[in-house]
Formats: sequence, structure tokens, C-alpha cells
Amino acid sequence: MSRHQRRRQSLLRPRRLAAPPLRFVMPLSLLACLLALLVLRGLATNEAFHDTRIATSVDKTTVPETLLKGGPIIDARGDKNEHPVSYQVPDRTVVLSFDDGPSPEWTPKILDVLAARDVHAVFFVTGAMTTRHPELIRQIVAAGHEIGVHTFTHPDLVYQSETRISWELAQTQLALAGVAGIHSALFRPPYSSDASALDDWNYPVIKYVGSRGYLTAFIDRDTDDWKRPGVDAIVEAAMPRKPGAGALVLLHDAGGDRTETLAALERIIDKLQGEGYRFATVSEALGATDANVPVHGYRLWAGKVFIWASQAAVLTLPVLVALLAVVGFLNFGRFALMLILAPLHARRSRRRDAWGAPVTEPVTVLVPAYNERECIANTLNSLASSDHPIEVIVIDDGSTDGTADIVEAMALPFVRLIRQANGGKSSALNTGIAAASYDIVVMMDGDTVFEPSTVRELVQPFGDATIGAVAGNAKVGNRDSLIGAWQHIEYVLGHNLDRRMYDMLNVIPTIPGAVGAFRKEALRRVGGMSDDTLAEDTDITMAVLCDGWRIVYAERARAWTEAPASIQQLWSQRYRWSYGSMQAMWKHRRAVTSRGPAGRFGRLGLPLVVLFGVVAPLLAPLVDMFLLYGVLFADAPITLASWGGFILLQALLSWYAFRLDGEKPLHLISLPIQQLVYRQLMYIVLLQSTITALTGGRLRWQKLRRTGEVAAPVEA
Amino acid sequence: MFVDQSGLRSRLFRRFGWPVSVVGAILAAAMGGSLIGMQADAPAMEIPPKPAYLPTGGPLPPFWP
Repeated sequence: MSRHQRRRQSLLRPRRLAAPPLRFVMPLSLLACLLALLVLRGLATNEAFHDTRIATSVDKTTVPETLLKGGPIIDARGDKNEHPVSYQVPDRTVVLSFDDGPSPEWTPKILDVLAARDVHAVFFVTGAMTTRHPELIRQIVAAGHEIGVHTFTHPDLVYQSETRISWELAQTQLALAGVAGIHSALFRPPYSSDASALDDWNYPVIKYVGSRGYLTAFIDRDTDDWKRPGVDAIVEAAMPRKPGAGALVLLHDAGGDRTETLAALERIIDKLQGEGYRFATVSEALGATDANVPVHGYRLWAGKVFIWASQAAVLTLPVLVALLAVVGFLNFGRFALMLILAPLHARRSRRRDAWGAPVTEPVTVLVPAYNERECIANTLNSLASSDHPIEVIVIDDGSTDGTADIVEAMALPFVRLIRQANGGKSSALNTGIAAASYDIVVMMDGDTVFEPSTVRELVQPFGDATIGAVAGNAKVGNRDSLIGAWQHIEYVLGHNLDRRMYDMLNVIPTIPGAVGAFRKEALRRVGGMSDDTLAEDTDITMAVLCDGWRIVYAERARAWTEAPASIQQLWSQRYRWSYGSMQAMWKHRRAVTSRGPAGRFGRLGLPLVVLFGVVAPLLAPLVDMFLLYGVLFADAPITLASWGGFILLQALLSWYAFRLDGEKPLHLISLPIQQLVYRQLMYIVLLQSTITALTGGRLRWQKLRRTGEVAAPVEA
Repeated sequence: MFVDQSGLRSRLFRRFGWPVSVVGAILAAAMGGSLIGMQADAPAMEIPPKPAYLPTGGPLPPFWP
């Protein structure tokens, strides 16, 4: 088409931008939500960005001597940033402070004690705990206590960048705004104690936090109540150094059993009140304006959204974990089934007399061909060297590239050519079945190459009269490219080990179109090939199974096919496969409630295929979301180690599958990358074809481009 | 099999799919945005100047009542 013909619109008129297809936008937008929910949940449970390192104190050369000996409250805000000042708690005043909360178990009890004695205190809360227990923060604020910021994830800020510190502050303020509609001007760094513990590492942190407008409140008296030293020791440690002196006292309302803290608190208040002390918040002690300032407008609503989303995230996580467990159960269940059944199958196939007397009578080989110019000669030449007596029928399905002429020109004595108007693969096969002279019909693709022994190996199981069909072993010929190697792994592990497993359960759901054999009687009874589905091979296999025939897998009947060599080709092949197999499953859905062999397949085979072939891949994106979350936001080493463990397990299984198939394990080196690219491609294809199926879209056969590079068996 | 000649299912998918996607995208953006941590500054808090320690050579000594 020339450029002129294409340009229908004037260049001056703006071209309407094509909307991105909904089928991609919707999953992406839902996955983005999922990841965001995971991160929010991780923050609320203090799992994301968690850092447990604690610094030990170093030199104090940069800290002004007077700050070290001064009061516990340090003001490094605004113009005081260069030369911070410190404040003492006034005489006969005690500020009680509770760190690390709120905790649903202990904070309400502490609030009760404080309320009973009409005492106000300061709660230095973490953003994570705030997000998880909004109601407690509201109770604290309603009771007139003061809230201070104790960071979001409780890291030792000495190890954190200014960006991270700023984020910790902002995120905690956001949570406070969402929960109680306030911001706080008070700050206490995690793992801090009194002002004399300032050192060269944490002093810059205090100055930075001061530059962001925070008043830092250290302590005078550390009760060490988190070590549970006994009620007496806590009370003793809380007393001001000199009678009558003011003190800022540190207690905890979270982080374990606080029974001692609670008992000590009553005694501390009663004792000090008896000595004439008053209890105050930091701002009351300093005579300052309220440290908790109401927020309005955008900041309030941003906070509310954050809290709502976090709550939703905490609630939905069990559902996600349950789905993840389903995926894990399915994957490991499939592995386990394979590990149990594949060795049994391997043992059976080593027995040469498994099927009774050898089958020696001639068979018919059907080669449906539609535009197979590149491959058909290789295919027929490979059949010429067959060590089993065969007649070959090539059904040319209205090819437009001269495939039939090539077959005619080859003039092979054992080959019959039937030309028909284009009618689809199943109609071509039906034509061939009708013309077949023998009772056993072998079906192959026009792009497939057989080994000399393939037909013989494939038909041996027919020595057993109950066997109606046999699946062969399709192998990827062009395996030297990355995409070929991935398909090679998939064929050996996913298709062939799967098939061994299904064979032992007698529910093989698919005989590959590339290599399979049927009893003509079985085909006749189920009415031949049907064009109801795009996966006529799966359809016919299920029909034969439902008719009560046994289907087995002959692993030594190898057929070499040319796998799609580009992502686009692979995409359209798999699109058709998954759409077609879903059609076939749906077509045979009544088998679930049937009696006899059909019911057996419907209640055993179909559920297995649906679970392993549809449910597990559709849930697989969830695994990747958790992986992404684990690596980026939570514990990367543990996540990567468990992922590595899974890959290793899969590698071992693949290695076993390769050994069973007599393949060199060399191609397994691309397994880790396969897990990061190919697996995703496969589940995206499945998702897309599921959407097409659900929305009733039409999907047509698409001819794959072939190069004919698979000429002779790569390895005999 | 699966093909819907009337196009009803595909219209339904579009009718509900687009709102769901747009709401999902907005929610994801809002949740993502709430994790950026934009507003880290503390609100103003006035303290009457009677500190326990005053730096020597500081800018201006705070007013002492």
C-alpha cells in the first residue's frame, strides 16, 4: 500500500489517539492496586523498610558541652538550628512519656490509670502502630494527652539518609492526620535516652529534625521498664534525681508484657503527687502552645485516604495469602504428583512387553498440510526412512504456496496426495481418516519430522485392545536460540513429565497434533475430528477418553517440531492453544456429572487440567507481586533465597525430566531467566485468551511462519 | 464455542471494565502517592524563652522576662 493511499486524514486534523486496550489496562491497574495494598500492609505491620540495626555511641566532639549537661528538651528549630538550646522540665513537675505505642492491650489500661488520677502524659507513637490502631490514638488525644512522633518504622536514624528521615516524619504525620486530624511538633528518636547520650552521629539527626520544625524530647529518667526489672525498680528509677527537681520520665506502652509498667505507673503517680508534684505534657511543662495542631483540607484527606487504604490492605491480606497458598499448593502438588507418578511411568516404559505382542501390521500416516512449502519435503523424507510399514496420505488443505506441487514432484511411492478446498485442519484430517486403508491412524503436522523408529514406537501400545489412542513425544528442534531453549524446557518438563503423570492416572487430556496415533474404530465412535474448538487435538483426546478408551504416552516416539522462533509467533500459537483447550474443557464439561469412563475423566482429569492449566497460571501474577514486594520493600535476602529455593526445586525436577527423556541438561542454564520472562508471557497469554473467551470474542487459526530449519533429528 | 454473536458480553466487559480500571488506577495512584511522604515539616509551636541552656555567641539571646 502506498503512502498516499494510507493517508486518509489531513495532517492538520489531530489524529484521535487509540485507547489502550482494556484487556491490558484492567489487569495492570488491578495489579498496581495489589502491589500498593501489599506495601501499605507491610508499612502498617512494620515489615516494609524494616531496619533493625542499632548504632553504639561514639565520640561527642561536635556536641556542645552545655547541651550534654542541659535539659532533655532540645530546640534546634529555625534560627536556633546553628546553636540549639535546651530546656529543663520545671521544678515540681514530671512529664510522663510512653514510647513505641499505641498497643491495643496496654494503652487502654494506661489511659485508665492516667484518667483515674487526672494526669496528662505524652505518647511518642510510631506511624506503623498509629496506622494499625487508629482508635487508640483518638482515645489518647480525646483524653487530653499529647502525641509525639517516634518515626514510622522505628529505625535507628543514625543509619538513615536525610531523605529517609524526612519520609519517616512525613509518613507518621500523614498517619496522625488521617487518624486524629492532627500533626505533632514533638519528636523523639528511637533508641534514644538522655541529652548526655548525644554524640557525633545522632547530633546531626537532631539538628536535621530541628530544621524540619520539630522539638526533640529526650528524657531525664530511664525506667528500663521494657526489661521488666520489677515494679520497685521501675518506681525507683522514675524518681527525680533531687527531691523537687523536674523530670521527664520514659516508660513504654508497647513491645511486650507491660504489667509491671502499669503497676509501677500507679505508684509513681501516687508517690509524686503526695510529694506535691504536678504532671504535665511537654507543652504544658514549657508553657508552650499545644504541640498537637489540627490539620485541615488536603492534608487531612490525604491522611484519611492513607489510613483507609492501610486498613483495607490489612484486611485483604489474608485473602491474598490464601490465594497465594492455593498457588503454592497447586504447584507443589503438581511437583509431588510428577515425582511419584513419573518414575512409575518410566519403569513401565522400560518393559518391552508392556502391551502384549508387537504390533507389526502397516498403519496410515496422515499429514494435513496448509502452506507447508518450507517443511513438507523434510517431513516426507523423514517418513521415507520409517522402519515400520506405512502408507502416507498428504491432505493439502487448499494451500496457496504450491505445497501440493512439491509433494507431487517428490513422487514418493508410499505417499498419496489428496487435494481439497481449504476447510481447516479437522476437515483435512477427516478427509484423511476416510481415505485411510489401515485400522491405525497416525497423525502428524506438516512441519514435523519423525525419526525412523517413531511410527513403530508410537503404535506398539495398540497391542492392548483397550488402548484407543497414543500420545507421542514432541520435541523442539530449534532449541539453540533462547526462546527455543525455553520452549524445549517447557516441552520436556511441562508437557512430557505432565503427560507421564496424566498417563498413570489414565487422563491424558491432549495428544499433541504433532505426533499421535488413534484406532480408527475409536475415531469413528466419537464422530471423527470436530471443528468446534481451535484445539482439535485436545478435543478429540477428551472425546476418546470419555468414550472409555485408554490413552497412553509413548515417550520413545519422538517427533521434532519447529517451535515458534519469535515472541509474536509464540504468542499467537499459545493464544490459540489456551483458547482452544478452554473450549475443549468447556465442550466436555458434562463429563463431570457423567457415569462410567466419561465421569472418571470429568471428575479426575478435567479438574486437574483446570487447576494446573488455568487456575494456577491465572493466579501466578500474585506470586510475582509478592516477589516484587519482598525484594523492593521487605526482606530482599529472604525473598530472593526462597525464590532461589523454588527455582532450585524446579531445576531438580527439570533435570530429572531431562534425564528421563535422555536430554543433555545444558539447556537448563536458561531456567532462571525463563522464570522471569517466559513464565510471565505464558500467563499473560492465558489471561488474554480467558478474557477473549469470557467476552465472546472470535479467535481464528493463524498460520505460523516456518523456516524449515528442523530437517533431521537433532539427536537420535 | 465461547463466541458471542450478539456482542453483549463484550459490551458488558467494556461498560464495567473501564470504570473498574479507571477506579483501580486512581486508587493505585492515590495509595502510591500517600507513600511518597511529601509533608515532613512539623507545625509551629511557640515556646516562651526561658531555656536551661543558652549558647554563647549565638545570634540574639532570647528575651528573659
